[in-house]
Amino acid sequence: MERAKMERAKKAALLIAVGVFLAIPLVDHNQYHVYILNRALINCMVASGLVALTGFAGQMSLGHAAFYGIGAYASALLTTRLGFPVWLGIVGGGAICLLVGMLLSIPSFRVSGFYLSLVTISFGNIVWMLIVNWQSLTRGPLGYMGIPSLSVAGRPVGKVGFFYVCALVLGLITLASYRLAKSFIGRGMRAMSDDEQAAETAGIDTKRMKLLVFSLSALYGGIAGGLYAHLSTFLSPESFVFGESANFVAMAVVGGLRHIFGGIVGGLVVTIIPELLRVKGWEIYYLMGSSLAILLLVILLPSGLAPAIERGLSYIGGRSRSKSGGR
Amino acid sequence: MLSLIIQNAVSGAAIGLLYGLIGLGVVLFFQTTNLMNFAHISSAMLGAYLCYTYAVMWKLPFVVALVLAVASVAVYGLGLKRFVYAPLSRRKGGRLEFIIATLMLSVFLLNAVIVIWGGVPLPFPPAFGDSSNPVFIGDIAIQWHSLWVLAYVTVFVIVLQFFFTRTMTGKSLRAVAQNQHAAKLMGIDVDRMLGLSFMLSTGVTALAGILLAPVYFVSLDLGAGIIGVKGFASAVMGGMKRPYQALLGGVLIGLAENFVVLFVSSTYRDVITFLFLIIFLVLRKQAEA
Amino acid sequence: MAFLALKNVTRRFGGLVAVNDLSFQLPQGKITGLIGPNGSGKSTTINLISGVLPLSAGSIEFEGKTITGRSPHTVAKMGIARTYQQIRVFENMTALENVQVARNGKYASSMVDVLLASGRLSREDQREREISMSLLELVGLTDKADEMPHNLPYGHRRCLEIARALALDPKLLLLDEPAAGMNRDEFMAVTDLILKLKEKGISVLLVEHTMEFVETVVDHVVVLNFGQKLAEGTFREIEQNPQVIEAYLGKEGL
Repeated sequence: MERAKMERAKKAALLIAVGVFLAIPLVDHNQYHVYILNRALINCMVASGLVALTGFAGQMSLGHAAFYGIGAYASALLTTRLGFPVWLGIVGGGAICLLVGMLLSIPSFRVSGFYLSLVTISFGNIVWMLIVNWQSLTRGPLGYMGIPSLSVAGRPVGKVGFFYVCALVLGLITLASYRLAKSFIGRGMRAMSDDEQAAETAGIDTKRMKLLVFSLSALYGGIAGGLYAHLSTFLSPESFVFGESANFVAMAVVGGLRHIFGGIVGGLVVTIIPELLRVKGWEIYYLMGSSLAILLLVILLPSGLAPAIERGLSYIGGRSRSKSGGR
Repeated sequence: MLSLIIQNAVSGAAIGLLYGLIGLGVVLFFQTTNLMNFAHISSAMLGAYLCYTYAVMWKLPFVVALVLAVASVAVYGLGLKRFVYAPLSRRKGGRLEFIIATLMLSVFLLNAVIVIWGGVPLPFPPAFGDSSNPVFIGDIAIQWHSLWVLAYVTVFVIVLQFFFTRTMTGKSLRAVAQNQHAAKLMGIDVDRMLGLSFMLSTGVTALAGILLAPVYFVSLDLGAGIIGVKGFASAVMGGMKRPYQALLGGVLIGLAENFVVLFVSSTYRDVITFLFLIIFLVLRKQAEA
Repeated sequence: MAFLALKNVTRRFGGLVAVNDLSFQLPQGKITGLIGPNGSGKSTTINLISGVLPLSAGSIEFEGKTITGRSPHTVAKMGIARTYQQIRVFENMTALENVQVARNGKYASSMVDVLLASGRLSREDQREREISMSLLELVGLTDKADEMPHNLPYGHRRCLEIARALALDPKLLLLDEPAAGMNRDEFMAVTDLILKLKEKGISVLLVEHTMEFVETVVDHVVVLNFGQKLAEGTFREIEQNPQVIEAYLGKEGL
C-alpha cells in the first residue's frame, strides 16, 4: 500500500515539474532563453536515443552527431530543393537516418565495446567529411542557408510555438521508449546487454535487436537534426564534429544511462549548464568550467542524475511520512 | 626518385615510431586497467607545452626541460588515477563512464591550455636539429629530427625492456597485466602497480608529444584531432596486448601516410588511418572465428 | 531419422583439435550422459550443438534438419535449449524476467503492437507471464519471482537457469555440468527435476563429472577422450570398459 502511494506521489511530482517547465516560455519572454530551451529539447531527443542504444541495449555509439547531421541536411534539402513541407522534410530526414542506422548496426554484429566505439567514431568522421566535401549538396564550410522555419497551416510557428512542438515530439519519443523498455522486446535488449551469448541461446535474435535499436536511436537523432535545421534556418558542418557526438554521449551518461528519463535530464543539464556559466567577463573560462562541471558530475554520479533525483524524492517521501508519525 | 622514396620512408618511419609510442602508452594502460582513456592524447599536448615552458620560458637546459616535462605529466597521470579512476571505480562506474569522464577531461585540458598558453601554436626550440639543414647521405636528405627520434625511441625501448625483464617492479607490473587476481595473491601491491601503469602510460605519451612538436608545433593539434586516433590505431594493430607491436603498427601507418601523400594526394593522408583500423578490426575478428 | 545426429564433427582452435571426427546419435526421450576426463571436449561439443561455436568440419542434424552453421537463437527456436557450466543468468533482471525473456519467440506481437500498447500485446504479456510463473513453480522458485539473481543461493540460480531453458519449450535440453558445486540437497533436487523432465518427454544430454549423478539419472552414455568417442552404451557397459577405465584412472588403474 505504501509503495503505491509513493508511486502516485512521484507521478504527481513529475507532472508538476513538467507543467512548470512547459510554462516557462509563457512567462520568460527572453528570445535567447527560449532558443536555448529549444536547443535543449532537441538535444534531449538525441540523448534519449543514446540512452536506449547504449544504456539499454549495451551498444556503443560515439558517432551520433552523424545522424543529427544527416537528419538536418536531409530535411534542409528536401524542403528547399524539393519543396517538401517542413514536417515532411523532418520525417523524411528521420526515415533516411533510420535506414543508415540499420547499416551502422552491421559492424555491431561482429565487434563490441571499445572496438565498436572506434567504428562509430570513424562513421561519424566519414559523415562529417562528406558534409564538408560534398559542396554541391551541402555547400560545405560555407554553410547552408535559407532553410524555412516550421509553419503550421500556413502560419509560421515562432520560437514559442516551436518549443511546444519540440516538447510534444520529445513526449512522444519518451512514451515510445517507455513502452519499448517495458515490453518483451525491451527485456530482450536488456538480456542482450547483460550477456549476449546467453541471450542468443535463450532464443533472442541479437542481430535483429541490434538492428532495431540502432535504427530507432538513429531515427530519434535524425528527427532532432531536422528540427534543428528548421529552428536555426542555417547549417554549418561545425555543428556535426566529433565533439558533438561526445557531447551527446555525455548527456546520456550525466542524465542516467539506465533511466527512462536519462536522456531528458541529461539533455537539459548539459545544454543549460554552459549557458549558466556564460557570465559576462568570464567568457574564456566557460568552456573549461562546463567541461569540468560535467567531468565532476560523471565521477560523482556515474549512474546519472535521473536515478539520483528519484532516490532523493523517495528519501524525502520516506522522511516526511515518518515525521508525520505514519507507519 | 629512389632518394625521394628513401627520404619519405625515413621521415615516415620516424613519425610512425611516435604514433606507435602513443599506441604503446595506450596498450600499457589497457593491459592493466582494461579501460580506454580518451584523454590519452592530452598527455602528448601537455608534455609539449610543459617542455616549452621549462625550456623557453624558464630557460632550463633542454634535456632537463624534457625530463622534467615527462616527469610532470607522469605526476598528472597519478592524479588521473587518484581523482578520476579511483572515485569512478568506487562508485561502480563502468567503462563508458570512464570514457565520458576522460573525454570531458580532454576538453577541459584543451581549454585550460588555451587559457594558460593561448590558442596560437608556439615554436619549438631547435633541439632536434634544424629542418633546413639535413644530413646528406649521397643524394638522400635525412632530417636530424628523424635521427633524434630513432635515438630516443631506441634508448627508451631498451630501458623499458630492461625494466620489464630485469627489475622486480617491472615484472610485478607484467604480472598485474596478465592476471590481477593472481598477482594480488602473490603479494604484489596491485594498487601501486596500477599507479605506476598510469604514470608510465602518460609519461611515454608526453615523450611522444615532445618529439612530435617540431613537426606539429606546440599546438592544440597535438591534443585534439587525428593524432590521437593514429595512436589508438597503432594500439589496435598491436592487438591491444603487445606494446612493441604497437610501435610497428605506428611505423606502418607513418610509412603508408607518407607514401599516400607522395603518390596520391595529401587530402587523403588521414583516411589511411581509418582504413588500417577497419582492416585490422575485420582481420582480428576473422582470426578469432 | 535420428533425433540428434553428430556426423564427423570436428572443431579446431588454431593448432589444437578439441573435437575430432566425433559421431554419435542421441536417442529421443532418454537421458544421455556425455562424460570423459578433463579436456576431452565435452563442453566444446555442447557449444557446437547449440550453435555457439561453428564447426570446423562435419555436420549436426536435429530431427532430420541441419543445424550446422545456424545461429544459436535459431537452434534454440528449433527446440534445443542449454545451460552453462558457470551459470549464466541475466544478473540485471529479476528471476521472473529471466524466464520471461526466453518466451520472446512465442510472441506474435510486433514493434507496432508495443508502440501502440495494443490489446494483443497485453493479452500475450498476460499469457506469457502465467507460463513463466508456472515454470518457476516447477523448479521451486515461486516466491523468488521478483528477486535479483545475485540474492539467490547457488542451487536456486542453477534452477533458474534450467527454468529459463525450459521456457523455450525445448525437445532437447543440453545441461553442462548442472550438479557442479552443489551440496547433497541441491543435487537431489536437480536429479528429481531432470527425471521429471524425462516424464514430460524432454530428451536430455547431460555433461557431467560426478559418476554418482550420471549413474542414477542416465539411460545411455557416450564417453569422450581427446575429442573422440571412446565408448558408448549403458552405464554398466561403459563402467566395465577397460579403455574407459584407463582414460580416467591411467594404465595402473583400478
